[in-house]
Amino acid sequence: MKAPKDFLFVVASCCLLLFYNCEKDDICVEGTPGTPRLVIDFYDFENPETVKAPSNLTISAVATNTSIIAGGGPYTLPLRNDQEFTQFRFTLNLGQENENHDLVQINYRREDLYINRACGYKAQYLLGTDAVVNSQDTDNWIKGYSIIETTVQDETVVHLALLH
Amino acid sequence: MKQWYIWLCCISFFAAPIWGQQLQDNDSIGVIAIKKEAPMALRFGIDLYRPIRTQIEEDFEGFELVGDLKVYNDLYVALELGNENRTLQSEQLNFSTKGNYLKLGIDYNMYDNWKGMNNQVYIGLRFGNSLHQQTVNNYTLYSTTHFWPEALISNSNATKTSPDLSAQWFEVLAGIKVQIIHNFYLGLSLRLNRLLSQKQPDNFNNLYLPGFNKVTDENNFGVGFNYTLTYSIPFRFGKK
Repeated sequence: MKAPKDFLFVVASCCLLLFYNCEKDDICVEGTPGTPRLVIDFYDFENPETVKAPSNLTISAVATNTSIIAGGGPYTLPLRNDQEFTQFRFTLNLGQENENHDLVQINYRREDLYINRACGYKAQYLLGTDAVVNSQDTDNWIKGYSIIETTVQDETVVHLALLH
Repeated sequence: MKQWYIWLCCISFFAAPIWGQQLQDNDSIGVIAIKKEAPMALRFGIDLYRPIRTQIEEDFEGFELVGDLKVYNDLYVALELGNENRTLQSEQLNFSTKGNYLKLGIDYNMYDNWKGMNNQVYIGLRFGNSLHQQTVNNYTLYSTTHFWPEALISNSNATKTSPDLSAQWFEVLAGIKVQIIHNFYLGLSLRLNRLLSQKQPDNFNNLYLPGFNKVTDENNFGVGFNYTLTYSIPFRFGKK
């Protein structure tokens, strides 16, 4: 066997051996949209088209009793993936005399969508006719709801309107 | 006997064979010696790596049969037939691939054997085809916000088996086969694979293919190898 062929074979084998355990770093690119949160806003019960911001609102998740940042405008609520509902407490005037809290349960179905090898799956939520259930209370300040988007795919639009 | 030891040393260490010094003599003798018509030989055997790994590793089950047929002086028609059942954890995903594969191709021996020996240093091409299924076992959802604790999803619309999948690829390989004792050969081959086409599962991807190994998202290349023990049945046509 000729020497150059010799050398070529050796080089080729070494390259192939090296490649075997070489793995390109699979990174989920930052900025890839993941599982979306539910975006809600508050509208006037008498005029369901008009946005009506509730005064002094605090939203907290019932299971952990931690509050979700409530500033103004549309609120993003993270939904649970280990069950098909999440309970939130919407409180007006927390800590004051006229405190009024509503225990609201959001019901949904989940559908997972494959992104790629590095990121895996992300969730999408489907809101049905039983999407919002307000537990029986004497003084509910939230009077109704309206589904704007049945599929929660991203956080760019408001999905649910709560009327008060 | 000296040659035998050299060859045994080489195949144990996967190192470059030290055959450099033999070559000059062989060339000059070759002019005088009559090149005998090499007998047709059918060689078949198994890959040793996969059954051993099946015993050691819990998430791996595999078996590969190999064979080749000498059709001309240095040219062989080769075949590999295998089965694999593997469970892998890929980032946040746990999945299983189960299926069979068939590779068909040719090998070309580049090594000039001394008289009476039958070793090979060869390069080859293969066309591979797999029939398999993918099963997503469980995963955690990808999210940029972390309010709720991460849940392991094992029961959803995506945790299912996608059957009747297939893939086709092309392989370039280099290998050696060494005769250890009468008619038994030990071989090693290293392969570079290039994916040609595949049928993807529903709401998932072929992250791994039996026979091809790991499939990456960016390119269509993969690598593989086998370590074989084969037995050769020589047969001659015409008069003995």
